[in-house]
Amino acid sequence: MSLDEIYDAVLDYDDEGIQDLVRQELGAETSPKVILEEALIEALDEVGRCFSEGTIFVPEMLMAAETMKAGLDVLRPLLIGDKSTIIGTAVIGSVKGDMHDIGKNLVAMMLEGASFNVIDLGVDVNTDAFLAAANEHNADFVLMSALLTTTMKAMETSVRAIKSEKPGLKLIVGGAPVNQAFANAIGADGYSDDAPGAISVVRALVKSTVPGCIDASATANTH
Amino acid sequence: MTTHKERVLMALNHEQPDRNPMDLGGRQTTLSIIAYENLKKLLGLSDLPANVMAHTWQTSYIDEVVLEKFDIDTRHIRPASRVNESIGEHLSIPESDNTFVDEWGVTRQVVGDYANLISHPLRTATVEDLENFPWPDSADNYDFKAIREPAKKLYEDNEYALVGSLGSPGNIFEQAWYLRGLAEFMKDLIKNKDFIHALMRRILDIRKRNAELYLREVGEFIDVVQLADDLAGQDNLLISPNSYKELVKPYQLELCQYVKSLTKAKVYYHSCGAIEPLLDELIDNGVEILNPVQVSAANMDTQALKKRYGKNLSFWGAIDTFEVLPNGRVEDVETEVKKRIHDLGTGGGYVMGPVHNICADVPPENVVAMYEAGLKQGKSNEPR
Repeated sequence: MSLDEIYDAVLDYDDEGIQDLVRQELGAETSPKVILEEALIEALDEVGRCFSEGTIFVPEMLMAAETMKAGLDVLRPLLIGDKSTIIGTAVIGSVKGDMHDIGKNLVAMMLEGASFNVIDLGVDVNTDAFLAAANEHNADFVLMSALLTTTMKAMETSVRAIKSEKPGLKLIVGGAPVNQAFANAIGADGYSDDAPGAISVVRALVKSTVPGCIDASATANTH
Repeated sequence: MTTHKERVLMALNHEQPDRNPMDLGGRQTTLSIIAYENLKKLLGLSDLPANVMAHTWQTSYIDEVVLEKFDIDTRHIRPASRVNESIGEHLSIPESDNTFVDEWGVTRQVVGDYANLISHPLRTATVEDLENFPWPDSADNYDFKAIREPAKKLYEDNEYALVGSLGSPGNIFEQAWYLRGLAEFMKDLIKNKDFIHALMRRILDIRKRNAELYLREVGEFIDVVQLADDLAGQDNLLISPNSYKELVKPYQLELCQYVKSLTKAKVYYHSCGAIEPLLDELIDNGVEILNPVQVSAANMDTQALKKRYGKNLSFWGAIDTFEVLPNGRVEDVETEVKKRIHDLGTGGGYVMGPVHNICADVPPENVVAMYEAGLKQGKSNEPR
């Protein structure tokens, strides 16, 4: 069955073959939403689980996310207008002074793959830029990354400022030196120690704050 | 009376010295320019001029008067970088736009305590493009001749253990991704292995040439030779053990064995992070000393490391720069020093130093407390 092949293509990092597989499945009149949720999202969740367990590493996860993105590129034009597939809008960036972006990019790719509308502001993002993007895109979440102990201070500044300006906006923080105690101390709504965990945190916040919203983590498990 | 040198050598030969040896002022155990300015102010030594060790890392040389004050057991033999000179070797704390291009063509920008990577010259390169890349020449980049006489004198004085830094870190894996960009490099590890092999071979050849030029001048004088190549992050390795074995280890092994063929010095290897899963591989490469023992990373518990690897590895560093030194009180620093000397230094096998170069977020009082505690606590270890 071709949904399985798409799922396997993500796990095999077959970024060249996956687009044909998705097109074939669309040709067999499977809906884009089913391909997204039952093949691509399922596969990325599996990759995330393996990463969190320590059996695969960042290179494998990057390639899986790239492969998923290639598949998603075929689906995206067909999903536009189908609001039921968009779970929420997230603004993401590395905090001011921090030029590191691999972890942040992984979270952005995985969130996009998990059906979020993602506004990626890149690196060295200051508080005003986070706020402006959140306002412009009516975001539900702002995700911030810091790799250095020295840029954690900028994270604290941004979290405190955004919380006082827009208390309803959910703020999620991550990055090597960041931990749950720090996230609590600065008033963030969520924290994860790795990229797959960040997706789980966002999904859990969606579930707890938006009743009736799609819970992507509960899609049919066919694998 | 035990000399500083005897103390270090005893520890590295896994014998209990009279007190645990201490290091400061090396490639990975020095202070950042800003942190050193703060320390000098506290010590009433603000008149000492700034002397930049590595522009890339924003680190400072430590003056002899400070090393003597803390009773440091090591002295470092490091060739000056000619590239640094051209951009201001004696530059003080940087200001304004601090973008510069290093000798490999990688653009970096100084932000706070670090020079971040901004662009990567081999980002889109193919194997064929490597032929035409302007590879740097170690003979041009470092002044090796100038270190022979000072190293010889220190060797003849026979007072301190001499620690050798090639000039470059001797890094191959890191240098490869600096040139390629980390994300591209990581994808190459899975989809473009020929490119990885070709790139690693090029860099290895340059590192071997660097090692030869350096060790020809001072290989007979030094007690420890440093290599560095970060392979791990906070929670795990950056790449899988299988990727390491297939694509990185062959080059690290060749460099390590080449270095050992040119000097009797013990090989010190630096990798930040949760490196524990690769320690058997590193020992197999010929590594004898592990630095920095990043105690804040996963599975880097000092008691467990000593128990499992203490027969084959000595440890160098281990005083926490993540939480204790920047945020702890003087008492916390003393407790940390006591714990690490107990865990790692019982029966020898440990040289105390900070996990990371001490950055601006560390109060200078804690630097003083660390070395004072090292002097005091280091004498109290009983052999097992």
